[in-house]
Amino acid sequence: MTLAYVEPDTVEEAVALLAEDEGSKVLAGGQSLMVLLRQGLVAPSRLVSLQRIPELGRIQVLPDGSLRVGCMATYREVAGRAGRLLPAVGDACRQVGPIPVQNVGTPGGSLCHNAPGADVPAALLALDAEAVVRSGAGERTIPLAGFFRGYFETVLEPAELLVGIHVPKPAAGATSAYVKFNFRLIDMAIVGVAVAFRWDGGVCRDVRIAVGGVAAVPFRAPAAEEALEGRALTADLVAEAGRLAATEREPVSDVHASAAYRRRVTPVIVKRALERAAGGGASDVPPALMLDVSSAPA
Amino acid sequence: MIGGRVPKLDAVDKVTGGMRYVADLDIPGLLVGKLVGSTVAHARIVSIDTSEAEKLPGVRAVITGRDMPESRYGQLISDQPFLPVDKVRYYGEPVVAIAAVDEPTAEQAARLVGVEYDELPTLADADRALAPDAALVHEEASPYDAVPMTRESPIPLRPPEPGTNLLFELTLNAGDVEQAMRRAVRVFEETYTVPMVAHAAMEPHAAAAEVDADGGITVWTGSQSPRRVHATLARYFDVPREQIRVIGLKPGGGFGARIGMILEPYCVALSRAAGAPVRIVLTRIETFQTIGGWLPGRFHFRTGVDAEGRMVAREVDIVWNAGAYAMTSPVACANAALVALGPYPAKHVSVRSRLVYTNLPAARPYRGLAATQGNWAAERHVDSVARALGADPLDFRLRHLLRAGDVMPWGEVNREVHLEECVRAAAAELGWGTSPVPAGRGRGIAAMWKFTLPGFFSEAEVVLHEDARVDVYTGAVDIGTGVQVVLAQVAAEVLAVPVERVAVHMADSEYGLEDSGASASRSAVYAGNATLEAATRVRDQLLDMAERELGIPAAQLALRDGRVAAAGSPPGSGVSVAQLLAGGGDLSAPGAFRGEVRTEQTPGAPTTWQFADWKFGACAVEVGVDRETGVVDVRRVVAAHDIGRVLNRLNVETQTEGSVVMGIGAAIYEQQVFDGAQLVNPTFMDYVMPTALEAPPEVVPVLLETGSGHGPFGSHGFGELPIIPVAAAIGNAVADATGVQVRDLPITAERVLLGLDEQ
Repeated sequence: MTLAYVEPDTVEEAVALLAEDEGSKVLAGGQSLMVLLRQGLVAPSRLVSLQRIPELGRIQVLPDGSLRVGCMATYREVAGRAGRLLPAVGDACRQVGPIPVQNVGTPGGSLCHNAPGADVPAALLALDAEAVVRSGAGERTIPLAGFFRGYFETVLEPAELLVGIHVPKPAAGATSAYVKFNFRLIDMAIVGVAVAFRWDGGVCRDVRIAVGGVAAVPFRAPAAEEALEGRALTADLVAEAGRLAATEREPVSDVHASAAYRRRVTPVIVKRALERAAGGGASDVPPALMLDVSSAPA
Repeated sequence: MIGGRVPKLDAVDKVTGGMRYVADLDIPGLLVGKLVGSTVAHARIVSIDTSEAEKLPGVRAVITGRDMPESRYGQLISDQPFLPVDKVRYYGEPVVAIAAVDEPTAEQAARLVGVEYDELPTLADADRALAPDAALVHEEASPYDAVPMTRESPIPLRPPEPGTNLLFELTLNAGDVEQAMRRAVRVFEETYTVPMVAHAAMEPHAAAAEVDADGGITVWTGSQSPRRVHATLARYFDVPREQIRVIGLKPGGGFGARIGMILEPYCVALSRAAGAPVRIVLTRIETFQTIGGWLPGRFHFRTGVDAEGRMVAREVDIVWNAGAYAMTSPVACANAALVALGPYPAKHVSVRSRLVYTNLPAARPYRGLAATQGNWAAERHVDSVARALGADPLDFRLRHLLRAGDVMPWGEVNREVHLEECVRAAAAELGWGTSPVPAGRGRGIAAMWKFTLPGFFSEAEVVLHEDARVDVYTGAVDIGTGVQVVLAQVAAEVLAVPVERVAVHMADSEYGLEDSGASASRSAVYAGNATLEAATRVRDQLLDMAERELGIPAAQLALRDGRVAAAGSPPGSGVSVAQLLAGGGDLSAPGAFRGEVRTEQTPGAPTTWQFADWKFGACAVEVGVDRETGVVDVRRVVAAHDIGRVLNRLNVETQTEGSVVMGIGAAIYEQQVFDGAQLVNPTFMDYVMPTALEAPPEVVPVLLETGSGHGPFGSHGFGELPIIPVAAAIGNAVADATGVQVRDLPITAERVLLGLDEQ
């Protein structure tokens, strides 16, 4: 049993290859796909690697101030380029697995893989991001709110390629944060909470809270968002928002934590994420995961 | 030299990737071996169809139990078939073995094998397996042989109880427990549990074999006991030992998971059938599924306390889940039952420790042979009793602690006990009672003791060459403990040469040197003593030669820098080793060591149990607990042990660090989770063990050099010791920080938070 491997030079070629053989799998950083292949959990007929398409690695601020992240940009690159503009994304990218994974893995791949407990999907969901998707029929954008379908499943069609992620320009006074909770730093999140809002004279506006790790897909917590909308962040309100977020979905149980425990700690992580965002994104990301090779003195 | 910080001889090879493991061997014509595992946990084998697999191009051999010897194998109980023909007893148990030209072919052939099973009730739980109407894991238990681990072993081994799943039972009764409990003013009753915990060695299990046209067999293995593999392979395949060569390679971690024959018999049988060398390297998932972790169990305690607050009676009832085969679990069941009494000799003691067959993968020895499990239960229970009585856990321990000359409940008396020094040293280093406990933190302490069976042995040979180079040959293997450099140090010390002049050759059966294997913290002591004896003999021969040459009595001569001269004479005087050996060839001598009982027996004792070596230590820890999530954060660990004499300080410090982090894994993170009898977390993604990022900021070894050990220069074996009290100390510290008594391992955040919520 052999696995074909191709490296197209253009997006058009890549999309054509996907359309030609629906058993193909797209290879970006490979940090999840290689594990699945090794364990026999996926058996694609062909790997379509994107590594020879340079435009897909681009990170650009568009004229309207929004951000476009190519699907081959790595966690490390995205954290470095977009971390200040979008603190939640920086927080998430700097906590994905160990450093080698951050150097090779991609936020684009993470969206398509949609593993429960992945960090970047929740962060991008809270930032109202969209997936930019190409196929033979052209390009379309899919808001992330409608992108995740179920366990390791998205709405992407087999012949569609996620070429990039589009994140709207943060409004004046905007802040965001992502807090990851797990027992071992390199693992997936047991609960990962991203929050984004903008300050408006001491109260929060446009509050968005996204929760990963708890259910099969990352989800927004509208009742919790509503509770904070237009209000100052008091301890009582924050606790109330946490409680509401914890009852938004039925949590999952796995070998890492029970559903009851996930529900029990969700309000704590919501609180920590709100505090972090309100504090302007203090640097309490575990130091071992912040080691930044690219900025090390030569 | 002795006691110095001498780096391991293989350290550079290991960190640069230069080390050759079994999977790296380049053997011409090598085939890939693959085991086909059972897809059910307990079933009769109705039929095995290998015809499709045999037809696949590139497949060189497909074998079943019909191609294996009929006899069964066991280190203590002969209960294990390699490729069973009648029934399977655990999920993943190999039923067919395949040799093919490459891995994809072997994997495809494995998928083509058809096995029809008639399923039997699955027994995952030891209590259910003990029920009178339970299905039997071994219907044929009665004809099994029971062979003690050593000739001198005091453990009363018997074959399993026919018609039940009771594999082994140890009982001990001293004094009158029932009467003492009635007289006690308070009786504390508690239950503690431990799940199965995996060894998770970095290198997956691997072995290779080549059977030549004349029937000569060569085996390459990363076994912890390659000399025993040699002996048992000869017996199992009924071939003379001289016809087999076993080459022991250094494994990438052992921890007990590589003791005894594991993959070697499959490789030999496949190579015979295929007429070519065959290597099996398990995948990580196969390793997790088929190599059982440590022995899981449940401990029930009753402790009676008198009006003065003294523990006067202790009852321990333990049920262990051995899984499908006995392995070394009967000895673990006995050893850990005594450990579970705790080093607090009460007059009235009752112990019952039962080992039960189930359909889990067979538990294997794990760094300390179940002492960590027994210690967890004992030291948590004693701590909980102390807190319930309002006593300081340190003071309470010191009041009851075993001291030199105390009579053990089983009647043994040891006059070399330095436990109190260990406990006091650990507490002092942590700042117990002297530095304030930071807010949100807690401190805990646990004492440890462990026993080693008498009768293990080791042989060595030392050769001194004309150019003052030294070769040490030994049957021992270095599984990462650093024993290799220790043996070099011992020879270098005796023969007064730099350690770089000594080469240590290990674990090849061609040397003809026996060794019981790397277990029970024994290699540096046993192979060390054997090397010490051999080197001393060589030195004595050399001094005798120098006496004749120089006309100075040997007793007044000393060896230094490759020369023999009168003690105290200036450098360069006397005669060189080269001159002495010129024309006469090398000097060589053998050495051997057998572990002997060094304790006393009291008249009228309830048993005749005596052990070769007792080991003592204590662990003190400081933890932080996140009260919102229950997460335990280990901040500082002090490991204080009576090591007798430090042979290599670097080895001991790094052994302590590794042991402590491994102990933290078992304490907080690790458990093999079963759905029925099927392992649900057979990968490193789901089997969560600490990484370097989870290591505590501070691990402080405190090494007490009492000279009390039976190893070279008064040393004790050490490799297993520091892990033993870690989990209990952490559990005690969590109780100190939060008041929450977690009685089940691991101490998950969820358990701590649940306890906090209940307060």
